[in-house]
Amino acid sequence: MAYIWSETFSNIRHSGLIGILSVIVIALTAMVVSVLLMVANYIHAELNIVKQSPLIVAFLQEGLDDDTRQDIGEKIKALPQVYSTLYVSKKDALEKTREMFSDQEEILEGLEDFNPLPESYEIELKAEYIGSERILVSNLKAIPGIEDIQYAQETSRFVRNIELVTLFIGIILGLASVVIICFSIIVTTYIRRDEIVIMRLVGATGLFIRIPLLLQGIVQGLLGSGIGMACLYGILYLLAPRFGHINFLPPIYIAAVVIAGGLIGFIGGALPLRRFIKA
Amino acid sequence: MENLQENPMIQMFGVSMQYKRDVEVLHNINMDVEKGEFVFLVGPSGAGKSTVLKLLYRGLVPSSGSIVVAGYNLSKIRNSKLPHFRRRLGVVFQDFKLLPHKTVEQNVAFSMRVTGARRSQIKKNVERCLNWTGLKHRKNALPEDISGGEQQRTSIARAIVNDPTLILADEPTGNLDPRLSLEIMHLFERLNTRGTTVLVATHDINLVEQMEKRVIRIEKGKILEE
Ligand SMILES: Nc1ncnc2c1ncn2[C@@H]1O[C@H](COP(=O)(O)OP(=O)(O)OP(=O)(O)O)[C@@H](O)[C@H]1O
Ligand SMILES: [Mg+2]
Repeated sequence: MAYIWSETFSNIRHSGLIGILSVIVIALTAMVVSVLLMVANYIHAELNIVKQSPLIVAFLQEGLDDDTRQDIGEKIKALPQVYSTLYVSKKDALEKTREMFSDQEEILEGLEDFNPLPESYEIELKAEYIGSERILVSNLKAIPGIEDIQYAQETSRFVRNIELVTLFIGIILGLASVVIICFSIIVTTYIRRDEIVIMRLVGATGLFIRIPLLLQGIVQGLLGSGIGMACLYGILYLLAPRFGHINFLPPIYIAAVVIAGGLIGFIGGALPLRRFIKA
Repeated sequence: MENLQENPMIQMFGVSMQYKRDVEVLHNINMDVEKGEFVFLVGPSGAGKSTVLKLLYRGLVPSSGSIVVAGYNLSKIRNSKLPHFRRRLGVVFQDFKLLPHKTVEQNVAFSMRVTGARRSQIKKNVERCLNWTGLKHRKNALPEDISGGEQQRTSIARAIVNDPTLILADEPTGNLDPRLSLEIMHLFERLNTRGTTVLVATHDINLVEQMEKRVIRIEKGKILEE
């Protein structure tokens, strides 16, 4: 085991500039992905504060009795995505509409006697479910007594799109890192092909030669993403006086980015080996 | 196992070798070396001595013919078995083939490391072999920092560290003075009396005559009378 590690670090030392470059590329990738994650987080948070009306309104059928209505309210509250619910009676609904059209009173004249507005529950989502309203909507539709559901599809789609773009860019950058690490390891094996031949001649198995190279990929990946996160943190710390407090990523995200770096290194280390370390 | 004992250590049957098309460097070689023998393979430069040794450790595959070494049929051996086969051999390469980023000691230890031997065992064997080859004081040097003769002795130490069943030595004394050459030959002889089969390719006729062992002559890719 000690031997394998010393072999790994010797490999890294002798991979020289290419080893350093691949660590730098992974560091930059980790930084960009982290910034994307921060932007996505930021938009989530902003939307939470900015939104004034509840995102989802569930309209009830006409003429439900009190028990049924209350029962529906309980059922909605029990859904995991729901943060809070507010019951809006037919009367409240009319009031609200009145407020909206306060300069055109005549439109709503006579509606007290025959109020066509349905009663409803206004539902506030938990922050982490913003952007995935669809699941909630289908859950709501399954509750008997709910007639129709309205929600701000636009906002939801916007958030989802941002997340998709983040994911997309993240994947592309991740792939780029895999390619770079692959390349770095191919170059290492190429530079050291004579040594690899010697190792085989004195009885080394393919695995014996591969493991240090695999570890090299993992170490490069972890090192790169770790350095990237540290740099990003440093930069944000320096910028803080100018832009005010910027929320850094929560620890779980940091860990995820670093581990992803290691994983990318592993993949990069595993991919190129087969062809290059034959007999 | 009993059966294996009776088979020769090395069997070459009808072996021909071409590096390039139409240029045959070995012609229909037949050669047997019994278990426990000490044999010299001699011949002028370019005769094909190194080619024979390379075929024997399967650094090369013959164009035709069959080779059996230490019970392994080399034309049928699977890639996955190759490391196990090579661990039974101790090869001294004409060009040494030392690992450039490892010290003398690490180079010698390497051929034991690949077998997964225990650390204490490796340490013991390496120290012993470095003593035998007179390299103790150079054990922490890198190959580029030692003389040709010292590199050659490192290669020899690496070949014998694993207690091989067969030593294949290609010009193992090419860079050594006569006294040191003889010392190495006596070292091989000592290992030979303990059961190791030894095949040494050389053109050092003096040395061969002093040792009084079986001699196989090769010239222009053909085996001459013994
Ligand atoms: N890789 C190769 N490609 C083409 N021809 C080769 C190759 N290696 C050796 N030869 C040729 O094969 C013949 C035998 O070479 P070999 O190295 O076996 O000779 P040798 O007996 O070991 O010579 P020396 O005593 O100089 O080491 C020579 O004519 C040589 O030019
Ligand atoms: Mg030769």
